Amino acid sequence: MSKLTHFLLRKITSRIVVFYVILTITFVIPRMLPGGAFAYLINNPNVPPNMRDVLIKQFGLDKPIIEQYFIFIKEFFTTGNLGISFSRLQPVSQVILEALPWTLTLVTTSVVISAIIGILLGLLVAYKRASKMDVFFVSVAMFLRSMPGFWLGMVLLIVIGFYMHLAPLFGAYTYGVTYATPFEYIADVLYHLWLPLVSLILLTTPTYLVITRNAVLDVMSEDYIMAAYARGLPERNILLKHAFKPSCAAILTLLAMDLGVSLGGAMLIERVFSIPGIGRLTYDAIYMQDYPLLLGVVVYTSAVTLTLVTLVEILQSVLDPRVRLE
Amino acid sequence: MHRVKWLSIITLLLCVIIIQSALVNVNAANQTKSVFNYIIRDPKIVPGGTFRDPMMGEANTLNPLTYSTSWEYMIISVVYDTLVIRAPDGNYVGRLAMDWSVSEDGKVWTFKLYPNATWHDGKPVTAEDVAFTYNYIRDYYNYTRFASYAIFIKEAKVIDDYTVQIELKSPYAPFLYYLAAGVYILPKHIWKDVKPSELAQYKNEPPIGSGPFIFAEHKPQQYYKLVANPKYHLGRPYIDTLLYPIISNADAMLLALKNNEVDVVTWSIPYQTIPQLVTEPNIKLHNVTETGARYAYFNCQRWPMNEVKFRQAVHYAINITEVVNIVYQGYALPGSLGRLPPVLSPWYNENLPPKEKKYPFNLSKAAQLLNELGLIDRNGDGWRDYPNGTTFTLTIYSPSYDPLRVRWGEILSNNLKEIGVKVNYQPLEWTALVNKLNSGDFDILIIGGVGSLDPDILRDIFHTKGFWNNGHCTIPGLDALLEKQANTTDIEARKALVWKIQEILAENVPLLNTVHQQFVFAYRDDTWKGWVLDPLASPDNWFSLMSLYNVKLQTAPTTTITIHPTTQPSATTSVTLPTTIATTPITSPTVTTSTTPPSGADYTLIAVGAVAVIVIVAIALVIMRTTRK
Repeated sequence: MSKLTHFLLRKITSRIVVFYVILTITFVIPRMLPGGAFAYLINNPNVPPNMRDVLIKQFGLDKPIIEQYFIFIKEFFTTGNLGISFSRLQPVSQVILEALPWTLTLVTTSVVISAIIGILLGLLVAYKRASKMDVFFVSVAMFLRSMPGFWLGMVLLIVIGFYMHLAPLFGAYTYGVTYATPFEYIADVLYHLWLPLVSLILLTTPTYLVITRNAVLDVMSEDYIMAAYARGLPERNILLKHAFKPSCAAILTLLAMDLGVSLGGAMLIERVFSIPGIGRLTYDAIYMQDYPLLLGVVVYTSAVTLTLVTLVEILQSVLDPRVRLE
Repeated sequence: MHRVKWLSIITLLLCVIIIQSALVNVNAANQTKSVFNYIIRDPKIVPGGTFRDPMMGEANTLNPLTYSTSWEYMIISVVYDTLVIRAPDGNYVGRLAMDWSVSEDGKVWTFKLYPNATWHDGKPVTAEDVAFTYNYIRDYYNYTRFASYAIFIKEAKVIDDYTVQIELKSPYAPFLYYLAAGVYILPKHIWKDVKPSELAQYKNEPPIGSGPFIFAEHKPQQYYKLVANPKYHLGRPYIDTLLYPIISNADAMLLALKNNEVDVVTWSIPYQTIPQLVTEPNIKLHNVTETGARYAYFNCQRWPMNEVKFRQAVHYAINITEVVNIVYQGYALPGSLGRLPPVLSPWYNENLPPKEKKYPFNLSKAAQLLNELGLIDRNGDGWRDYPNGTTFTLTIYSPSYDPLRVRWGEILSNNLKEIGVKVNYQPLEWTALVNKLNSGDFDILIIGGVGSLDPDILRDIFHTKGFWNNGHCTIPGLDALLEKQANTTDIEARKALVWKIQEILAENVPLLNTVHQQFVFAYRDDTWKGWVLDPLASPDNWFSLMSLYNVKLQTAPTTTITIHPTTQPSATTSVTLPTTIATTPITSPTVTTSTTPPSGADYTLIAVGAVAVIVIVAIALVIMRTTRK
């Protein structure tokens, strides 16, 4: 047990260090940009001169950079405050927390569904390896995998939303409508989110499929599988009990790594389907050169990703004690 | 028999009287125009329905003193009222002000307010509120978006409950546009507690105004909802609910218009989609010409850009007709030599020759002018040199985000290279470009925008001390004229000055005014009718939002509503007037001349794509099969 606590402690400290590094990088990068981080404020003739001074004072932009850094770190760790968004004129954390639920709903739902579909299909094609079905699924997976997400989203939007009228063209629910019951609201949200979800699932499933298939096939060449065959066990049993369990480690690692990727993919999909999530926020922040907001998005999404990754790793260490060693 | 004759005579007489009175009515309306000449007001119209007016981004603030984006303007302009408003034909008509007058010396403006206007919280709109607003922006001008105009205000005084007098420090001709039509009147009982130092972050949500729509709801990044103000002093709008869904994807916005999920597109649609859109029966297009231009600064702090001959040579070296037709596909007007777009009546000088007439594209003429300046190839390397022998290198920058401007910058550079000018052409990222502009480190810099409905913008661009005079060109005698037009309140006298200024600009060409780009907006006219189009504004302007009515709710035949309105006999005559103005630019080249593919084109494209994918997959399967064996 002490080994496990040691492991946990080590993992968590390393995550905190990584997070701190991310925090520092997000602080430094906008300040290294040509034109400076606050070009929007300084070059925008629509920003009245005195208002500019007020904002500069408030954001501490007139202080030396080292001092700005310490204020930034102190504020973040004591109050969780990341400053005020230049464009939205609201605390960054408030703006992000309004948008985060939509993104998390999309990402978690799509990751869970695509993991289930991907793993099942991966097992199926590993079982029927080198058959027509194997070739078919792997080719389709490769085809989808190599498609840009926003493009796939746009095609689905045009074909299914515009020509077939099976999905709405924008929004997370029907705007401006009052619902009689919460169920109506949920149904409406589902009607609006199913197409973005399908695009995300189409984009992430192939990875699970291919990785599962390859991991299982890898294990299948091990000696103990040969021994299982020799003992005359049915192939389905060998596949599920003897081959799949050890390959779970690889799949879980992928799951952890894929969360960050999915978050990035969701950002593009959100813009295509006009969903009020983090992705739209990021785009607006870049467009408006709103660095406090952009920085907040990076910090929050990396915090979410790091937490999820750590959770998955802990799960993995429970499943496979070897992970805990070293 | 006798009786019948008399009866017919009487009827005839009656008819004559009716027709005459109608004519008198129309004449009277033409003399003093009011807001009712431009909006549809008819008690027979049944109000109701939700009008869906999409935005592409969030309105970051609803503060009328600090807003900056067009999405913010869309909401603020219907929640708040200004004293007057610019009508689609260039006239000014009252919005909160019923009537106004200006003193002989042009310094004192007196406004009479509508007595029945109320704030959305029920309190009346009085002269107190108007005076408070103008004094507030005068005192704290540096915290507001009115910094450059509010300094002209001396004092706003309350004469009685519904009369307010605004005194200016000096006569200021653009007052009507920038201050009377630009400043939204704020309720004193709310804004007296707003500290100026907090203005920058005062989001003003929910806004309390006096406008035709009342703010109802805002879901961040999702939508804004406004509802009709039943007590609006100019009559309630016929729209019940004004919904602003936020659609971040411009293509989806256009698809939503086609699917009748929104009623108008508030984003200039891509030119290549127009041929397909004109085939849609219920979708109409509206061209809006920018009040500014896509233009290039010459850096007059350097030689030879400060030479008129050099600037003229550059004018000879670009074919603007070609730029309009090829780069802008016809969706632009050739840049006028006086900087103002030709649609900006009455300020545009109609006698001004077009650039292609005065400085027609002629490379040998351009080369000759360069020779006259002493820019000739002295060392035989093929490039022109300064008189001292070093190679003359011309640095041209353009904004890299706009492919159209990058393209014509390239055309200009290549033409100049052809006559031996060593051009260093660089499209730059926006902030870098702005830095070059502000630091004056360029020879020629391509940029865009900087427009206004008031010709005083010329003073900003061409006056030696003008905010937008980034080329720092000084033209003898121009500054005085620019200052004088700003102080001339009489419209005819001011017009003469502005026309003269444009003539001077045409001779001196301190900047290369390439094109006035046109933006194309699309709207549906099957559900909502009553659109009031303005050649300089998008279709969802204030006049439209006041006039639009839902066809499906009308019991009376709609034709009677639009052609014979009973209460305001003059309404239709003048509503059709701006419509005809607006339709003239719509007949611009490509909409009609370009080959319009059948609407099934998209299906064929998809079918072809699908077949291609199937064929590729089949080939891949065959190859994989054969290689395995």
